[in-house]
Amino acid sequence: MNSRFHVVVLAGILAIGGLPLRAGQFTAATVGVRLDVLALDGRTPLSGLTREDFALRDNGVAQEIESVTSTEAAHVVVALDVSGSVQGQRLRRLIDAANELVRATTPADRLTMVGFAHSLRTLALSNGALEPTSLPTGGSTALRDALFASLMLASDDSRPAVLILLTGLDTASWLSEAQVLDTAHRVDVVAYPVAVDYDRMRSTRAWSVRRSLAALEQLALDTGGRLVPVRPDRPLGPTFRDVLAEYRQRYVITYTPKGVDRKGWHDIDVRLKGKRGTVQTRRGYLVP
Amino acid sequence: LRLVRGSLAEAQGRYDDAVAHFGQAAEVSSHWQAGCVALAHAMVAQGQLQTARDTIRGCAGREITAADPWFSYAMGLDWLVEPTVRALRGEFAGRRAVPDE
Repeated sequence: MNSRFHVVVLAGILAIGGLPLRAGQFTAATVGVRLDVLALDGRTPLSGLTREDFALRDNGVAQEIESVTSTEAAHVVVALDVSGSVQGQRLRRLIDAANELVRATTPADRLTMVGFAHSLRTLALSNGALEPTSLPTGGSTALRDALFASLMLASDDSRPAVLILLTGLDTASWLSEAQVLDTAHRVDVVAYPVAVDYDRMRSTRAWSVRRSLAALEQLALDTGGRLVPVRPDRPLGPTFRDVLAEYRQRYVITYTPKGVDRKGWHDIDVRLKGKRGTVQTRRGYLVP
Repeated sequence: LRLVRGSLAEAQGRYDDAVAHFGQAAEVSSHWQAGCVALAHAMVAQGQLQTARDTIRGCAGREITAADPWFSYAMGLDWLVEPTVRALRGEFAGRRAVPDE
């Protein structure tokens, strides 16, 4: 199997430096931080930026940016809801979309696919494509558990990591929203939850649905990603491709924190210098 | 029970105890994934990220065929409330109709 046909995840923060640190791991020897940022003028990504174009603060203290690189090679992790609510045409549509995303990756990427229902399984590709037979379908939806597991799998690579997660409604998770968010603060993964029928979910009065949606929005915000709404009658493939294309337009900033305590929560603030636009990045990171 | 004990330990910040309880739960319930997920999460709280990843990779590679039994507890067994209340009402009505001697 080609290495790109593993799970793909997008890493936003990474311990770097001369020591052989694993992705997403902060230790006493951590010498650097990696941030994954998206610079936008309105909704248009800005290209060609260099380190002189960014101003970065870590817990309010201005930091010197060491490098700004691209996200050409990424760890892309795709998590698909294959629970009992996804059958027949919906399942076919899901598989087609996943395969569109597979084709959009490059040999420099690492791709990991997972399917989740009441449990989560990594999915193998056959001849470079996801086959219906390889999907364990049926059962309830342990969305939060799947999110947690995907974040863990995604952060296990030195490449920047992106998690594209097709969401359903959670009906069977062990973990709470707070536990998943706490985990997201500790690893270096940018999350793009893809919410089918978002408008209907948003307008519902069901407390559990609203809470679940709010948590996904928070996850996207905290990791520097975006919740992607999709109408139920629209194809998913172009959405997946667009998310990956957006990810490719991001920059990877590295810096070594100075003048701040190493442990605890670090608020991150990245802005553009002398340019119009905004920067989307993770809200911060936690060093335990 | 191990899951509940592990949860209590984790909530109290006793991560070593939580890992021990969840580890036993994962061992007992290898056909389900809740124990494994709970164990990995406690490892994250403990700061053992790589061990947590290895744990998740281990259970994500297994074929899980059964939904976790704890699910019923998490949902508060609310699906049992209505039939139980109906049965109790029936029992109560029956007792009223046929008083104890």
